[in-house]
Amino acid sequence: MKQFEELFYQTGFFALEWRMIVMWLVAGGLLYLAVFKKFEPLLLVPIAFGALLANLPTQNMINSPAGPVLSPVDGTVIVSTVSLGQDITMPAVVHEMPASIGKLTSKSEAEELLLSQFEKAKQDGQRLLYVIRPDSPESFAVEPEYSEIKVTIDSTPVTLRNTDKLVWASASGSVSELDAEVGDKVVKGAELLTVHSSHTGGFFHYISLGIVLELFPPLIFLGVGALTDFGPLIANPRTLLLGAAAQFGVFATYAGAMGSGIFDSSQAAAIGIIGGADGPTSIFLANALAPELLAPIAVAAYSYMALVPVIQPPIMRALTTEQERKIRMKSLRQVSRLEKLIFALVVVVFCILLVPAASPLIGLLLLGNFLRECGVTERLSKAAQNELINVITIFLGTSVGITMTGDRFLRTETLAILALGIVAFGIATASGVLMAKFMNLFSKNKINPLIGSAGVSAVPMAARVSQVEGQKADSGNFLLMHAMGPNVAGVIGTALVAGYFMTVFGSGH
Amino acid sequence: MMISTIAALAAKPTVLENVSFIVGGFVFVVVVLATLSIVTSLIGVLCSRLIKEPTAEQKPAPQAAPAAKPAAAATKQVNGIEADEDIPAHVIALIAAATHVILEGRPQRIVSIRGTTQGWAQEGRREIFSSHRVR
Repeated sequence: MKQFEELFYQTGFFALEWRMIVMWLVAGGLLYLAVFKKFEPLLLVPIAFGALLANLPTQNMINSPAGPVLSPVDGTVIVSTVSLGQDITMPAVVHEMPASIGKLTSKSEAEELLLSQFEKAKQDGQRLLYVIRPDSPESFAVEPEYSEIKVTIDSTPVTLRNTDKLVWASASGSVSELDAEVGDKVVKGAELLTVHSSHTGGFFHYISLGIVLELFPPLIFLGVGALTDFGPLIANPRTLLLGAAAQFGVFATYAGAMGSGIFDSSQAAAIGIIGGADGPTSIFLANALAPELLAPIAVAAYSYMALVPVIQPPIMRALTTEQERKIRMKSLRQVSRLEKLIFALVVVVFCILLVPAASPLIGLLLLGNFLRECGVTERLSKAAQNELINVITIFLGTSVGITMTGDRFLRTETLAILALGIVAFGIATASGVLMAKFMNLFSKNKINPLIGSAGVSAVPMAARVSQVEGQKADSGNFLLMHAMGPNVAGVIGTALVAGYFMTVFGSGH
Repeated sequence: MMISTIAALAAKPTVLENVSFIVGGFVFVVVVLATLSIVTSLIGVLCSRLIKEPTAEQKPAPQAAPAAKPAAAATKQVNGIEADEDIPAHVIALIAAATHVILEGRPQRIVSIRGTTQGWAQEGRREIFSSHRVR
């Protein structure tokens, strides 16, 4: 009987929390949209399923492997709670712990948060290992109303500054090496201690490395390049301007994020790129500029990309007249293979020379396209178009979903990012449409403004939306190939903006 | 130009710094893509002049019949529908029935039915783009 009782306590039911249940509903909603409403199921199903897995008390799925614990900053160790040989046990459900205190502006809120975190950590077993005082303290978007705070850690009262960094345990095991003690100076990336365990990390820990190490975004770009026909863009090069105009959404959202006062400039830039509607680029940039916001940015970018058919049409209809939507565009000329090959080479050389920071994205996008167009690497092109991009999409989707844990997702910061993301999409769509209308003022050969919205990239969903909306106005009007021009231009444009941001913020790798 | 902006932009830039960052960035992207647009046009002109594609000779051979159609404008009237001469009446009836089914019985009138030279190529492209809904 006692064995049954113990078995019962070992089940996952005791680890359930209200946030998990809320996230089940979110995952359920996304699955519903994907399966029954068919909103980009290839993206939404892996994301939603990953989100469901993230909010279950899983084992050997997400947990990090034991190993060295590194210092996040240059500074001095002011608190250490560990000793050699000590056992560290992680809870069944690992919570997101604060990396520093000062992001909470109110003192009482910060005290409450810290006390509750320490209390929760004690109960759960999630342990604070070190407190490090940085040599050059970070500046906050909103300056906290306090500079110091008094707390008790392991029965010892400590005064912490709002800029102090907290280092939490991330894996179970025993402390096999202790490299830093109170008073020691440490540099960023230095080993503080080593935790040893014979258990390895969970499956998704390793899969998610594809995002952390920035492997997935360039590989997706390789597949996209192999899938994309640049012909419509080459046949009608002025559509590059539509792709450029849509990037205004990125900058407008940067302004909005700065205006909100919640984010600093590099975080605002990482959020702004959601307006480019380009998942891989969003991940790439967030990883470089604001890794702490990677999860909500990736979720916002991918969810909104999947919801392009819902978000864009009302904006497109509001900004165009029935007459404009019926504009039939001149048939595109045939583009020779040589022209496509020269285009790929020119773009790769030109863009990389201008923004070397965007090389992994631009380089692999055009490598994929060259494989497709050169005509002698059919097997490689097919592999990039099918197996490679499909496998990476599964891994990328689930890795994005797995970041959607309740305590990370249900926060003001995340909700603000989601709100800013949808604004970004809206402004980018509107900018593309308005640019098309503006170009029509000077052009004899009119552009259907509906293809302007495809400048947000999101290949090829945005182009399909232009096609569908065009056909609603005139069932005999085929805009798909015309919309592919701005669509592809949007991909190049977003990668350029990402490169500009990375160069401006000096975030090379 | 970019390097000087880089050094200036802090975690909390002033309004002026923000504005110059935004305007500078947007102008940068527009100028780069506009330059690319001009370069692409030039590549197009260069290719068409240098290569002198053998289209003039090749086209008429395989596509002689369909290519001639629009120019020839050999049409007939079947129940008020203007159709190419070589489209038989039962195909016209079939197209009318298919249109009725696709439009779910909504009011419709078929004005003209024409053969097209690039229908299959277009259909192929449509299929490719609709079968890869990734990213």
